[in-house]
Amino acid sequence: MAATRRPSRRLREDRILAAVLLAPALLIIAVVTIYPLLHSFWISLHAWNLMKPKEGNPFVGLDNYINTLTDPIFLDSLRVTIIFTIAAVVIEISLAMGIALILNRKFIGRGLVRMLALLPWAVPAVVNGIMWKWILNPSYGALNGLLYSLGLIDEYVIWLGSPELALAMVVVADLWKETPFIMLLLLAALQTIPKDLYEAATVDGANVVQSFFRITLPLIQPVLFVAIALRTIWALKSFDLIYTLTAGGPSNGTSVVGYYTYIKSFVSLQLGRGAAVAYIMTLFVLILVYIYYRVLYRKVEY
Amino acid sequence: MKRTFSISLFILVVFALLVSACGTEATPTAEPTQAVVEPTEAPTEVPAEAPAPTEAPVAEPVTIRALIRPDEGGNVAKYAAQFEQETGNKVAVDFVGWAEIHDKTVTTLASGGGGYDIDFIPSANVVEFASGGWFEPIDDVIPADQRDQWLQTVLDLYTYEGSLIANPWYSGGAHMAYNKDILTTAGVDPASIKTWDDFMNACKTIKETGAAEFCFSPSAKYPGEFYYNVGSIVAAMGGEFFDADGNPVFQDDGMTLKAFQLMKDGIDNGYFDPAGVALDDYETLIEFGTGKTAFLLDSTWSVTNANRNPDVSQILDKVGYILIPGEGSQTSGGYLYAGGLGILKTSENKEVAKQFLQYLTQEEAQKQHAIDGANMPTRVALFKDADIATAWAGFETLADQLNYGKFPPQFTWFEEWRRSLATATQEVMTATKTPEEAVQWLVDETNRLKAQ
Repeated sequence: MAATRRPSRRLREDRILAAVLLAPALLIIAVVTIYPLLHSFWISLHAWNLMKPKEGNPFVGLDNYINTLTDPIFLDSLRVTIIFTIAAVVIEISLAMGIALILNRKFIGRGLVRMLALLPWAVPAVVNGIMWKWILNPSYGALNGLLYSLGLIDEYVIWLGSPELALAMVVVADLWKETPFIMLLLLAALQTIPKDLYEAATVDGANVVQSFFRITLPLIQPVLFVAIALRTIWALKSFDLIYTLTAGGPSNGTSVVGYYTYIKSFVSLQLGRGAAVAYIMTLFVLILVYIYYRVLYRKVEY
Repeated sequence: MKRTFSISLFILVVFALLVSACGTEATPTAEPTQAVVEPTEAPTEVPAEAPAPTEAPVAEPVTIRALIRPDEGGNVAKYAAQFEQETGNKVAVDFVGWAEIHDKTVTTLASGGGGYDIDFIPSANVVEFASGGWFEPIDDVIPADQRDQWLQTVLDLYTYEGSLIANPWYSGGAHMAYNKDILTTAGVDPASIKTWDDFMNACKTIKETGAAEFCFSPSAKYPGEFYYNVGSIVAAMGGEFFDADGNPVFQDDGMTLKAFQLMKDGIDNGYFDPAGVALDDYETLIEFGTGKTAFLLDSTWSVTNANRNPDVSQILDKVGYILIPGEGSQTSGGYLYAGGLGILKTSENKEVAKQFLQYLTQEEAQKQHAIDGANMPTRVALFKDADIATAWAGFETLADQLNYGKFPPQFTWFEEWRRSLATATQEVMTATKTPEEAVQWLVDETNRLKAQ
């Protein structure tokens, strides 16, 4: 009886080997992820001003969280972030789905089109921001030049001149960059769906729309969940595009929470506040992803 | 067991080697001052005509590290090379652009200096950077009996809690330039523009005659544009933003309201380019350089380069300068900026660093800096230098502008306040808020920031 409870020598050896093999990775994760995570939470409970080392870092409890949640600029940033995220995620998923469905069909030059469609995703976010800054320049931007030469506008538009239009342009720049990745995920999912399901549906008289909603959508739901969750998280933590394209302006109209966190941490140098904002957003993201999981995630069986 | 032991041992050895390899690589970064013990090249003999150092030459050549913005790269490289040749010490400079230098400096200071000996301190961040006590007092670099050779306002700016914490390197500020052709076409005499009312009348004439698409483009994209829009306009009108304790007073003298109203009127009447809300000071320079606007309110570098740099301007030698218009008895005004070089307390080569500071800010180096880099010097004598005056058309007017200027207030929360001012300015320009609402909002914001 005792022999059955005690693991065999070989099993013990394997466990030791596994522990040794995992140790370096665990050590690295502990140093670069777990420690900063805990330390930043510790910072968020203190008045931690980078430029006032003489004043120390007194414990302030939840003051940083309370001050953040009552800061009208933060609440405005949260509003902008939610609008940006909803607009970006909804349009990107719809657009990516459409492109993926097209690229999933056979046509001449499909490989080339697939490759070209992925190019924007390969552009670094900062480069994307700078590129769109040039495209949208009110005096010599390419977009104004194009629309004017096509006769679609009578005078040059100040694309980043009002909070609403600037936010719309930020969404456009984000769409251009991020849609290819979602398209790639969805395309990969589409290619796993057995063709005979569609053939059977066609035999049963189902049209294209019915096939999409009854076969395609349910079967790619796990990937769709991943795509929506990833894009939501990325959109909520957007920073580089805003930093390079609009600097949060005009009138804070494009100041998302990621940018607000940067301002608090590296402009105001209030690391405690910055850490508190980051934790508030983390909590927000966790709740959102949990909701997504409950609503969207389904185990798929063919 | 033997197999497990062998594999485990192998992994541990590999891991240990990796860690030790990382440690070896990291050493120069973590402790860069170690590098100074061993010079990277043989010391050269100090020539007899080398500038007299403040102390006896150090016995062992060292390497000093500096963190500086790249705009002065040519000047720094030239004089660093001379310094190296004459003293045998090496100078390693990390250039960091304007957009990143604030954040880079903050993290460098907070992490114990990052191995740097010399750090660039912009005028906007003197108190912010100095409040941590990271900078070495360098009063001996400019002895008391030589202080009258330097611009007093800049010396005062870089004096923190009674000690000089940076060697003034260059100065500058907001200036007003105009396109001579446009004003001639419109029949506007630039000498007649003394007040902001005169300015708006000139804009009206320019608009009516169609001499230019716009009279003026106020850059308002970034908080730093404070110098080139409402900030300098308020200063030129004689207004103040704060009292000595940092309490907002701009709602009392009416000048901020008037400046906001001026921006609104300019845009509503089609005098000012509304695109300015999304443009930075470089982009408004480009606009001015293409002849789209008649006036330019911009930095010393920008207004000078509008007249002589074909890369940014198509109106070379057609640019004139006037004092920024004033208000009532106030002739002119505007905000100034400066650059200084401080020595970190963590530096292990303070004396060599001081020598280099003196070398880089000596009269000849500043003169070349002014001629090549289009920045004003910080030595008084150079404001009457014939070579600089020859190199810069309109140098007298530009230099005169500095007499009316002042430096922005030095509060630790000023950087964030500038952001709020930029937001208020943008809201007026986009008609999101009325000038009155913008002033009230800014008062509330100022009190909130101050209370944090």
